[in-house]
Amino acid sequence: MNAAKPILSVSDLTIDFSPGSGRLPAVSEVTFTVQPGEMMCIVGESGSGKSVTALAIMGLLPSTARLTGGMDFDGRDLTRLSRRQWQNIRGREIGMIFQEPMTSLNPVFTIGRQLVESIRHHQRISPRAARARAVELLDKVGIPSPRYRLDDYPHQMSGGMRQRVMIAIALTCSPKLLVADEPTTALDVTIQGQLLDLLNQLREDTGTAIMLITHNMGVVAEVADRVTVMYSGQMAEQADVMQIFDRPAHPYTRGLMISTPNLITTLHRLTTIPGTMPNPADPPPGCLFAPRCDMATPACDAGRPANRALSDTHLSACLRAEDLQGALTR
Amino acid sequence: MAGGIHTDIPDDETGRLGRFLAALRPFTRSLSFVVGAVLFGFVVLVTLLGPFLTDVSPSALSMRNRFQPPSWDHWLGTDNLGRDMLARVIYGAQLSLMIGTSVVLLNAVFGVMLGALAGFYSRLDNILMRVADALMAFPAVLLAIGIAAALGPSSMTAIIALSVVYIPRTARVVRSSVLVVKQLDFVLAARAAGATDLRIILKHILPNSMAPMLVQLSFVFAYSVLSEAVLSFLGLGAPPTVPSWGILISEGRAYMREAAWLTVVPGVAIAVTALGLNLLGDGLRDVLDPRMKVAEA
Repeated sequence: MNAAKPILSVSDLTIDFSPGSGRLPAVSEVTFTVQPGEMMCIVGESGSGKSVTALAIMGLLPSTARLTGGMDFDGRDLTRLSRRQWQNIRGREIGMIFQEPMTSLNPVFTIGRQLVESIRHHQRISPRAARARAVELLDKVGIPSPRYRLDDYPHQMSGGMRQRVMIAIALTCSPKLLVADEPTTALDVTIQGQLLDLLNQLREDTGTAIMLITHNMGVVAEVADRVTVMYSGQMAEQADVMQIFDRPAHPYTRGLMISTPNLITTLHRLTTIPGTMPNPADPPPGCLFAPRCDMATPACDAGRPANRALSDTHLSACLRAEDLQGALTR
Repeated sequence: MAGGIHTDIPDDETGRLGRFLAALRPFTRSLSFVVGAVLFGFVVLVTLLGPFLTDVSPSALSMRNRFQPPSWDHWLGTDNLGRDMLARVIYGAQLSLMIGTSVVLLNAVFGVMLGALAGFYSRLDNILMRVADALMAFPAVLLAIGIAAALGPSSMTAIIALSVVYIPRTARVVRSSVLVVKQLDFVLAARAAGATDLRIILKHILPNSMAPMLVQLSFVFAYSVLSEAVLSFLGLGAPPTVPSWGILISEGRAYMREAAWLTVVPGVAIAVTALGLNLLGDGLRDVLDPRMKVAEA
């Protein structure tokens, strides 16, 4: 990846929720950049803060959330936008697709109407031209006979089709960045593959950068350029995709990889990472992953390890990153 | 079908009509909807066609024909001043339906607006709903009487009084369904696509809260017709020169023993209208809210 000017750069992003009197950290000190045309994956299990990060980038955090740190999008500081400025960025410059295609479309209108609405909301064009554009978009996302499908209601389409429509809606204004929050999780594996191909192809055709959020290392291996692994609201590791898979430098990353089922090694039981994620209200004193880590030493419990650069493109928050990489190369 | 492929999918022309009929089917399956629609439809029809059905003026006096029981000349009899009851009931229906429609329209505008605001903006919720609670703490008819008495009797007063009584109730129903719908994924998706609050409320939330809204408005119509009769009966609604149903009952009350039809006829008219609307509302609820049916079964 070229180190050109990133389209999105997030630095030390920290998000707390304050329900009542308490203070729950959801994301702390997350830093990453997305280059134009790049596919950046954020990986982590449920509750790791990846969706909250996505909502922050869209300016859609609930009012109980408090955000510090920097978010710079295409030369603008996202943390200082007015309501109106947000509305101009959302859908126009940053598009978003969601996890649940079955419920992300308004059930009472045809998809054509929703597409046309979305197009005309952002561009001043006639209904006829908007409809033509809608057909074009549906065709682009691979919906057969788009002219006829325009008059379908969401319930007449399958999950995969609906997700394609969601992508079409997100693409109406050719956004510079597409935030995809687990877009394939609710779909079966075949459709999952097709949609990932579609996203990849759109990225190549339009140069849109994509921030893909997933918990599936298989998805990461297939499409990512760069990967950020998150654990309990913190960055565990960040690297180019080849580095992550060749030489993971955090035991959590390794854990995610070996607990992905594959066709080559036949296992009787799927390997898992023992234990559960710490309660954010009562985190362990040291490394957040230490209680579940088979490589933990007393030093790991002593203090929260900071992210270290192992190389220009490789960051890890593990004290024993080198030991882990060494063990894996041997 | 060529190639021996059997398909039930109709082609486009019959498709549109077929789809329309298919959409109607659940409604015709609900007995209370059908009965309600027939009763209320009858009332509306008679009201609209009233002036063409009878050429007798509702206020034409005829001292020779006082207290005539129902006969071929006067189907529903005459009152103490010899006025034709059929004509009076039909013209009274105009007033009842006019007031009912006005109250429903005001509810549809203000009740829905306030309900949507309260449901959507949690900051407004507390203020609006406490005001609604305060208004709803009074029994409906008592509050209407109080307002009508304060403003002085007229049809307009009745409309205002009944709207003040029923708008909080409509707002509450709308609010509760807005609270549910605003949590749905497509609202978040719309927001992520850059939609403004107004757009989200109008295009995404309200169309998806339609069912309870329609049911509520049909009940508001029924209660308005009833309460209007109460207000007129007490002399707080339409002026005595207008043959409102409440006024007819009030005037006939003095002669209940001798000329029962004077109270029975407008009473039946009120009952049929209110019953029709209530059945219609029940039927709508059965059709539009499948969860209710599961609960019954």
